[in-house]
Amino acid sequence: MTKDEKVQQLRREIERWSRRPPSRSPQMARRAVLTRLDERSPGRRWGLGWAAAAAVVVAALGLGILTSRSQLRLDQPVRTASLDPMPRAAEGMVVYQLESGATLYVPLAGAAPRLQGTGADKSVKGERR
Amino acid sequence: MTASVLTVAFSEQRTSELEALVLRARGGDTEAYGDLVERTWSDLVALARGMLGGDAEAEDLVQEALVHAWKRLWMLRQPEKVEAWLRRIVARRCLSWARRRRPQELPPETAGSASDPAAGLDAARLLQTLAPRQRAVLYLTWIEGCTDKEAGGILGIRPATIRVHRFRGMQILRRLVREQ
Repeated sequence: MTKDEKVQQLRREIERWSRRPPSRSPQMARRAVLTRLDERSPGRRWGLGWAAAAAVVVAALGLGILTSRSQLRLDQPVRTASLDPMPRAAEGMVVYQLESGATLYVPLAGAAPRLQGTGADKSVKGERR
Repeated sequence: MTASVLTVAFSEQRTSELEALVLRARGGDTEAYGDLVERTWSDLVALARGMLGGDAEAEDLVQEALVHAWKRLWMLRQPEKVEAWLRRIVARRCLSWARRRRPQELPPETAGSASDPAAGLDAARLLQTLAPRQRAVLYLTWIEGCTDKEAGGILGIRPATIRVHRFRGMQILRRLVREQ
C-alpha cells in the first residue's frame, strides 16, 4: 500500500470512527440537557433578567449615593469633636473637626461647604444656616 | 440528478424544521429545545470526537455546550442557521478544553478504540499526536469537508492560518503513516 493510499485509508477510518453512534442515545441526551435547564429562565428572559439585575444594582448605588449625601447636609446636626469651631477668618472660612476624623470647611460666604479626610471623599452640598 | 434534488429538498426541510424548533424554544418551550437536541446530538458528538481525538469527554462537552446554547438562544440572529451555530459553540468548547488538557492527561482508553488491524492504522492514536488546532482544522476541512473560510468561522481564526495548520497536520500524519 502506498503512502497516499494509507493516508486516504486513515481519512476513511477517522470518518468511520467519529461517526460511530454515541454511547448516549439522542433521547438520553435530551433528558440530560432538559434536566439542566432552568425552565423558568428560557432564552430571552435570561437577557432581560440580567438587564433587570443591572438596573437594580445601578438604582441601589444611586440611592446609596443620595443617602450618603443627605447625611452630610449641613442643615442637619453635625456632631463635632471640638466644641468650638476653629475660625480661620483670614482664609474666609470656619473649620470643624468631626468625630469621624474628617474636617469640615464652611466658607463664610459664597462657595459650598466641603469635607476632607476619612469618609469624606465627596464635596458637601448643603444649605447655609 | 434525482438523488441530488432529493438531498437538497431534504436539507431544506430539515433547516426549516430546526428553525421552527428554535422559534418555539425561544418562547420558552423546553420540549422544542429537547427536539432540537435529539436531532443534532449525533452530528455534534461526531464533531467533538474528531476534534478531541477521543470520545471520553466528547459527549459531556456536547451536553455542556447544549445547556450553554439554551441560555444564549436569544442571541442567535439567524434561526435557520442554528446547526452551524451549535457546531461553532461545540467546536470552540472542544478547542478550549483540548488546549487546557496537558498531553500526559490523555485518556489511554481512547486510543485503540478506532484501531483497524487490517491496515495497521489507529485513527484515535494518530489524531492524538496532533496539536489541538491542527486536529480541529484537519477534522473540519479533511473529514467534514468545510472550506477554509467555514472552518475559520467555526474556530475563530483566519483562512490563511487554517491552511498553515492543515499543512503541518498533514505533514505529521504522513510521517506517522509512513512509520507504521
